[in-house]
Amino acid sequence: GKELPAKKAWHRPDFVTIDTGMEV
Amino acid sequence: MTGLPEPTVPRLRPGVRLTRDPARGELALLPERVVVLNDTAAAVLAHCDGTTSLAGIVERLAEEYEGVSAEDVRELLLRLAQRRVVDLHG
Repeated sequence: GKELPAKKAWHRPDFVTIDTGMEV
Repeated sequence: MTGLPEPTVPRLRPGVRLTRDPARGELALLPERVVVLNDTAAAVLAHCDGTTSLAGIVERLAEEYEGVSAEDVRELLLRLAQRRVVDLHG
């Protein structure tokens, strides 16, 4: 009776970096 | 070919912390640097525990995501290693 959670669609992993110049 | 070593058992570098910010989303915090991650990048990093192989990470991601690309994961880890977010070999 338990439904499996639907899988999410994969998409390309990405990121941006922010150099803060100070402790975060 | 990048000349970088292949990721085997990646882990977060010492001093790197994963967190979630309401305004910016998923983040990796480093000294003097913030890395803003999209959701799949954050999911990859969440599995970088220093004991799970690249293949194991892809396997775990496949439990959450449909159509996981091992090449995407590998490329991400190489890019994050260049920015000193992860070590590629535990």
